[in-house]
Parts: sequence; C-alpha cells; structure tokens
Amino acid sequence: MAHAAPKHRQLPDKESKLFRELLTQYELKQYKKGIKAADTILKKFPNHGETLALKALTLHSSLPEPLTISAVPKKEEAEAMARLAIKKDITSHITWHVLGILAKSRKDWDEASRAFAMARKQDPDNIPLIRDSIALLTHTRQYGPALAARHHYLLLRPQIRASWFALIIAHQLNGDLEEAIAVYNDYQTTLKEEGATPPEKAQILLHILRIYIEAGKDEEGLEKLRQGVKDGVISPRGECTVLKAQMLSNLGRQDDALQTYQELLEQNSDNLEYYKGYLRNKGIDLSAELTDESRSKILETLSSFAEVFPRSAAPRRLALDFSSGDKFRELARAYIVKGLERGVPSLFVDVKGVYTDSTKMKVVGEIVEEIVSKLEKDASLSDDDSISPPTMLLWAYYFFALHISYPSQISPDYTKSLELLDKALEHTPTLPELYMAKAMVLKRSGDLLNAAYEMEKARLLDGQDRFLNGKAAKYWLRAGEIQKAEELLAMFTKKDLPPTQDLTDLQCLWFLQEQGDAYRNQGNLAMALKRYHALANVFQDYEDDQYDFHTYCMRRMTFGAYVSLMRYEDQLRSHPGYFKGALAAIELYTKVHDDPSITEEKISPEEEAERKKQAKKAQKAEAKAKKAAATSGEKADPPVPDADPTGIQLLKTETPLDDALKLWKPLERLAAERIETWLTGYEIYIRKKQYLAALRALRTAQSINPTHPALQYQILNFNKIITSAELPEQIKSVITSELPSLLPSSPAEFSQSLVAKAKSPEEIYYAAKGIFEVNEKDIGNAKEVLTKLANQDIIPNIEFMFKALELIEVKGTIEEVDSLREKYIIRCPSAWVLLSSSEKENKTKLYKEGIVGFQGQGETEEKK
Amino acid sequence: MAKTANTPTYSTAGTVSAPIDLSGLKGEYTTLNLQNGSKGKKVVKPNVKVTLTSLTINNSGTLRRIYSVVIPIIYSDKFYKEVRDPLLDDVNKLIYYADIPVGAICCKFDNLAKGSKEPPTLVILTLAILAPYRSLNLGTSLLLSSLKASINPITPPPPIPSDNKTNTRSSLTVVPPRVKVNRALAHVQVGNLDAKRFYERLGFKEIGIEENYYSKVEPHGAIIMVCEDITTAIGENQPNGSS
Repeated sequence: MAHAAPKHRQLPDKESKLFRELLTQYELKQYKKGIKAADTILKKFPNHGETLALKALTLHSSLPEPLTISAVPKKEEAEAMARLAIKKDITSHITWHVLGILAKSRKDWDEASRAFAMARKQDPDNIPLIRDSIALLTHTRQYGPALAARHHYLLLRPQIRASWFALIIAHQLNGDLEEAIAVYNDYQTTLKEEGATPPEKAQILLHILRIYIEAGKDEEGLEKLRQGVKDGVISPRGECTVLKAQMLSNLGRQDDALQTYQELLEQNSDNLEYYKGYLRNKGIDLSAELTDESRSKILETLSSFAEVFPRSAAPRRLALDFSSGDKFRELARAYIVKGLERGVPSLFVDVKGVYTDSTKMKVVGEIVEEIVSKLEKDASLSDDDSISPPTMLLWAYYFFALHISYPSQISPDYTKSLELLDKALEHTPTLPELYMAKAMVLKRSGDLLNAAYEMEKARLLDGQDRFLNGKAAKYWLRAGEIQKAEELLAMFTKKDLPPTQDLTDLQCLWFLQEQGDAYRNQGNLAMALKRYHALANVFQDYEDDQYDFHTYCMRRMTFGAYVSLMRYEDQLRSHPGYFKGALAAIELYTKVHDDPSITEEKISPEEEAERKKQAKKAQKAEAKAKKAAATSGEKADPPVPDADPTGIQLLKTETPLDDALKLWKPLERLAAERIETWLTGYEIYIRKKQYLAALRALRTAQSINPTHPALQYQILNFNKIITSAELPEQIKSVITSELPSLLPSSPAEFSQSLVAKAKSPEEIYYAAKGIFEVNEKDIGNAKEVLTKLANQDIIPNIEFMFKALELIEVKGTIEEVDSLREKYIIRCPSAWVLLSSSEKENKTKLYKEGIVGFQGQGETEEKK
Repeated sequence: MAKTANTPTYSTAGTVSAPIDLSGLKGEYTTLNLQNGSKGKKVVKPNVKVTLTSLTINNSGTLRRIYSVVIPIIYSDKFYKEVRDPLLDDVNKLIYYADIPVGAICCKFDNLAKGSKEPPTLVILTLAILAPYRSLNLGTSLLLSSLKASINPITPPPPIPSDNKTNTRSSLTVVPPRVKVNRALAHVQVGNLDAKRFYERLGFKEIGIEENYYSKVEPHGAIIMVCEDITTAIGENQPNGSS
C-alpha cells in the first residue's frame, strides 16, 4: 500500500491477523467461525468499522433462505450493524461495499448503486467492486456512468477479451453506435491471435452487424458480412441471411434483396415476415391502401410461392389478407376446405384474422354454411366416388358455430350456435373442443355457470390435459366457484403447497387476474387486492431477475439476446397482463377512497361461525404440526409466514390514492397510447385534487379518442368538481382557458346531446352517468336512458347492464333497481349476474343433474 | 395383414400405437362384404391417421362417454376399473380416428387357470364405434388387434415401486406372460343382425342362445358367438412371406 491507513483503521498484529482470517472464513462460508473472530476483535476495538461491516456481512450471509421466523431479528441486526459501520469508518471501501451488498440482496438497486459508487471512490481500482458496480449502474439504467466504469475496467484489464466486448455493448446502450463500431474495429486490428471460440466469434460478429444496421451503415455492414462469411466466421444460413436481406432492402438493392428473401423462404417457407419482405422489395407498399394492380401482383407472387411450397400454409393464408371479392371467395374456400379435411382445430382462430373486414366475414360465413349443407347431404365435397372423412362435417359444424357467435358479428346468434354444437356433439361426443366451444358461446351469452359445467365436461374427457384443467378452473372462477376451481388446479400443482401459493410462485398471470376478479365480484375486496398485487409483484420479479444477466450475458457473449432483453425490460409493464391487473387494482383503490367503509367486512352470523370453525381447525392443525416437529427432534423454525394472508392490510391502507398512483405511474410512460390509461389517471388525480394533472389526463385522452363515452362523462364530472372547488387564481385561469375545448356547450346541453347520441351500450351507460353529474337528483331521466340497454336494436351487453343496476342502486331505490332488472332479464334471459339467488339455485341444481348423466352414471347393470 | 404383421411389436402401455393402415384390411375383406350383400365401401379421401391407445385413468372419461352414447347399458365404476387391469392392456384399446377418439374395445380372459374344463377364452365384453364412423373398418381393425394380441401374449411391464408403501419382493416380481389364448367369445343381442354378421365375417360361429342375458334391455336373449381358432381365422398360421 502506497500510503498508510488512517489511524483508526490500524489494528495491532494479532488482531490484524484475525481480520485477515475473518476475510478468508467469509469466503469459505465458515460463517460461525467468522462471527467469533469478529467478536474477538470487536471486544478490544469496538469502534473498528471494517470489522463491524464484515461481521454484518457474515451474519447476513449465514441466514437461511427463505427467511425463517428466528432469522428476522438477526437480519435487522445485520442491517443496523452495516449502517453503524459506515458511521465508524466512512472512508473505508469495505464498509460501503458491505452496505451495497446488503442493499443489493434487498433488491434496493438504487441504494446499492449509490453505496458501490461511494466504495469505488475510496478504492477506485478494486476489480470486483467495479464489476458489481457496472451491473448495478446498467440495471438502474445509468448508462453514462456505466460506460465510464467499463472504460476504467478495460484500462485495468486490457488483456481480457470480454472487457473489450463489454465496452462495445456499453457504448451501444449509451446510444453511441459509431464508437461501438470503432472499438470493435480497433480491437480487431490490434489483435494477433483471436482466442475466442468459433460460436463466440459468430455471436460477436452477428451482433456487430446488427449495430451496423441500427447505425444506418448498411454498406459497410454488408462488406463485413461478406468478409465474415468468406472467413468462415458466420454461417451463410439463418440469422446471417436475415441481416443480409435487411441491409439490402435498406440500401434499396431490390434485385439482390429479392434473391436473399428467396433464399430465406427456401430455408423456412412458413415465415410471414419473409413473404412480406419479399413483397416490399417487389416495390409494393403493404402499409398503404392497395391498388387493384398491386393486389393482383401480390396474389400472383403468392400463388407461385404456394406452388413451390405445397406444404406451406403461409402463402395461402397471406393471400386471404390481400385478396378481395370473388378472388377472396375462391381462395378462402380452398383454404377452409383444406383445413377442415385435415381437421385443423385452430382453423377458425387462423381465419378470423380477416374478420376486420366485415364483407370478408360474411363471405366466410356463406362458404362454411354451404360446406356444412353439402356434407350433410352427400358426405362428400368432390364429384367422384370418394367420401370425405366423417370428421370433416364435425369440424365444419365447429367452425360455423364459432363463426356465428363471434363477438364482432352485428347480432351474434347464440341459440343457433348452440344448436350446431349440439348437432356436432351428437355426431362425435368425444371431442373436447366441442364442449369448450359450447362453454365459450354460453359465456358470451352470459350464462356463466352453465358455461363452467360445459367446460367441466370437456375436462372429464381427458384428465391429464392441463390446458382443459386450467380452462375449467377459469370458468369456475368466473362463475364464482373459487373453492371448486382451486380443487381442480390442485390436481396439477405441487402436492405440498396450496395451489394458490404454487401458482403464484409459477407466476401464473391469468390465474391471479381471474381469482382477483372472482373475489372482487363476491365482494371480498381484500383478497381481490391481494391477488392484483401479487400480479404486479410478478412484474417486479421479472425486472429484478434481469440483474443476473448483466454479468451472465457478458460472460457467455450472447450480446444479441442481452440487448433485446434490455429493451424488453424497458417496456415490461406495457404487458397486457400488468395493464389489466393494475387497472383493476386502481379501480378498487378509488372505491376505497370514495367510501372507506367498504374496507369493513360485512359478514352474516353463519359466515362468522364458519370462520371461527375454520380458525379453530387451523389452530389444531398447527398445534399438531408443532407436536410432530417436537417429537421428531427438529427445531421448529418455519419460514416467515405471510404477514397479510387475507389482504386486509392492503385494503385498509391510509393512502389508497398514493398506492393507486404507484401502480399507474409505469402505465403513464409505457401504455400512453391507450385511452384507458388516461381515463384511469383522471380518476386518481381528480380525487387527489390535483386538478391540472386531471386536466392533462382528459386532454391526452381527448387526443387519443375525442368521442370515447367514458371521457364525455369525465368531462362533465370535472366541470362539476371545479365549479365547487376552491382554486388558486393561477390554476383557475388555466382551467377556464382550457375547459371550452373539452366542454363546448353548457353542461346540461352537453349531457342532453350525449343522451341523444347514445347508441352503443357504453355510450348509453356513460350518458346516464353524465346526467347525475348535471343533476344529482334526476333519477327518472337516468333510468329512462338506462332502459335503452334492453332495447332490441342495441347489442345486448351484460357488463353494462350490471353496471347500470349498480349505478341506480347507489342513487335510487330498490324498486327502481328491480324494475330495471326485469327489463334486462327479458333481453338477456341467460345472463347469470342478473338472476336472483333463488333462480341461481334452481339453475345450479339443473346443471348438476346434467353432468351426472354425462358420465353415464346412474343405475348400473352388471353383466353376469 | 400385409403391413401390420411386419411391424415390430412393443409394449404400448400408456402410449399411442403406430398408425394403422386401414386400406390393408380392405382388400382382404371386400369379397366377404359382397357375399353378404352390403354395398361396396367408398374410398375416404384424403387418407386419415388411425391409432390405438391404452386405457388409463385419464382417458376413462372418454371411454365412459363413448359407451354411454353407443350402448344402451349403463356400466358400473367397477367395470371401468377392471378393464384398466395392466394384464388386459394389450387387448383393451381406444381407437382414434384423425386424433379423435371414436371407439373402444374391452375384453376379459376366462378359464386361464390350469385344469379348467373349457379352453382359455378371450371374452369380448364391449365393442363400440360412434355411429358416423361405422363402415370404415374401424371396428374390424379394433377387434383384429385384440385377437392378435390374444394369441401373441407379451411380457407384462415390470411393476412400478410404490412411493408410500413398503415394497415387498412379491409386489415387485414381474408377472409371467399369460398363456396363448386361441378361442374368442362374444355376446350379440338377439335381433342384432348387423353385429352378428360382423362377427361371422371374422370367423365367429353361433353356438347357442343364452336367455335372459340382459336384465334391463329388451330383448333379454343373447346369441353366443365363438371363434374356436383365432390363429386360422385371422390368417396368422400362414408361413412367412405368403401373405
């Protein structure tokens, strides 16, 4: 060491030897010995910061994973000790390093990266310190400092190959592509002998080529690629061809690009992107409106490909997107017949992509109807003596049933769809898909319980099909049978864990969402919130899991995958799973804010008794387990139990709006193009009395879709609130200058125009909601508007009918709710949520009997 | 039997069989069809994959569904449990047409014990094919596969050691292969001429009528159909290469 350590850090020989031993003991994981050694030093020098820090670290590392009850205080002790160590010796890199490690293990990335930065200040050339620090800086997206650290690292270890490549990636992440390429080229020229293995070399070169494309230097990239292929560094197939095709199209060298895409198609004739790339280089702009000329050109190209690749469905399917009129009819018929003949179960899902065009949807319907009737009559589509496989009629029924109940139909015909499926079931009662389709159609018609029973039938056909099991569980959850769903799921989850726990560990998003919804519908808001939070935590875990890859990918030299991972993580929370869960949780939080009394559970005496029974049972089981543990001689030290098993603490939050905002913030950045984000944002900000932020949410929503029904209601709501609120002069002037662009006429007129315009269920509902914003007492008018939901010329929408009933329940009387409900039931006779509990019971009984008959159970006959 | 006879035999316990070639069956039995006066079968285009699978606890629901639709008799849970006996694995099968289960055969063995008066017999308990899939040779191939398995016994798979019970030596011993069973028997309800013809085509002969065989369905009587020599009936005794 160049200069002596400060006085307070020096230790006498004996202790200094002990200190060195302590270091090795930590590294050899001899934690008990380590703590003992630390204690010996601390007895003489209780203020020695570095020893304190090391003791904290050793103590922390010795704790079991996952944490047990007895380990919790020890963990707190270690944390406190680490902080104390800093106070005792603030200029030591060890104390800061330890603080950083503990923060890292808590997944507190920001604090960890700060602590590592401090540690590096004390000891700038410490290699492990720099390495950890780089990972943390990259993880917290501080690309500038990360680049500087990489550079520093390279200067310390220029002989290691990986430090050069890591620098290239650091430059790329920092956005300096030119420099990244320059580093690579300089490195190549200084190199005499390359020690990397061939796959590593290929990985690196491919990634450099991607950087070239990103930097727009396609010409040089192409040259590099040619050289790479010539030298045998990269194989000319696969990824390399894709990059080549991309660069050629960027350069506008159409002939070469066409040839390259041709090569790609020969490698894989089912990749739609290759076909699209080929067509683009034929000079056809696929994003713009197609002319007749380009249409025929596309179809010609695709049909020639269909001939060359007879086994590939891609060119045929793509042709359906680009054709129209009679040509479409001809192509679609051939495509559907082929699919039905081969019995492709996913044929409908595949073809429904063209349903965005309603004329095409109609044509497909006509085609299938014709196929069904012809098969019913002749059992064959061809004119010769052969017959079609009997399964073809079956799949045709299936396709047609799904077609006529599809939601984008103007009037989906559930009755006819169910009739068709029954016909198909008469034909072949052993195909699970038919029961699943029936369940889906019933679900769309609102009969959730019957749907669940149908799904259950599908499941009973094949007990080892986890997909059917999951589907059935989902349908039970929708029907409100949480217990039943868990029983089903338990068939496939770990035996020693409750199914909910295992599915949470497995990060099963649909389950968390659906169970949350099921609890919410039952009024158990606490559990609902708990599930939604579990869902949000899954995404936090995704983000945290990324940490290991900052070092792993550099070591394995999988740069392409690494950079795409980083980009994925940056937009992680735009995932539809997060979006849905977060929105549902925020809605609950705003409800809690509006009426904190809903956090108090209302339970009947019977339920209360049931719960007490359950608690007693649990207590008994626990006592038994304890006894068993005691007799077996093991010390009972179970993992820390869930502090909030019922979610009640989540629900009883003091700051529901701040909690909601925490979930909303990522959406603001990552799902800004979705109007729901801003509609939800408004609901939070208006309650927080942040009027300008609320106004901004409205303006952004308006810029996305000025006619969205919920937005119109929110504008009225905003107007009402700001007229009664006391505002500072500045804010008031901003709002009054902005408001006319949102609310062009007086509120009453605006509301009336909404009522007059309302055609869709959503518009009707929000128009009625808007009426209350103008006149709190105007129930009669609102009810009249809501009655329209039951009109024959309006698409029946059960969700909004239910919401409408809730709205009237809050504002009006029970009689008014019931009269409205009656009207809705006439329109949607099978809608489960609209039924009274006695009707529900009757139906339940009916369905239960149905499923008994399904399995051929009942009075049995024994053969002699 | 041209193609199927040459495919290697292996245990299909819990697995799917190799695809069955129905066209192979066709040539051999068209003449019989004509004799019986039924019209010639039409060719199915395109060709469809047909496979057999073993009965397991998991596809038991499918088996129940097929029987409850095709056969007017309701079978007990005990029946469905017994047909899953590992010793019957090679004769009890579900048949899949284009990956859809459309039929099944369940049998049992009688008189296997030494010293029984009658020769060991394969008793066909149930054979069912869903209505739209009849006349496609599925029933024939299903029955043939059982008959063939009956005269070609295989060594049963070794028992799987239990996780929760102690494994004794006897519970882990491999069961010896059963004897070759060369006689088959089936009951056909009186008046069911189609079924009777079906069995006759495969070499079964009527040996008598058992009154009151069925207790809950009319008519109660059943014709007893017996095939005394399976090997000859299905042409397995021909020297190699003659088929």
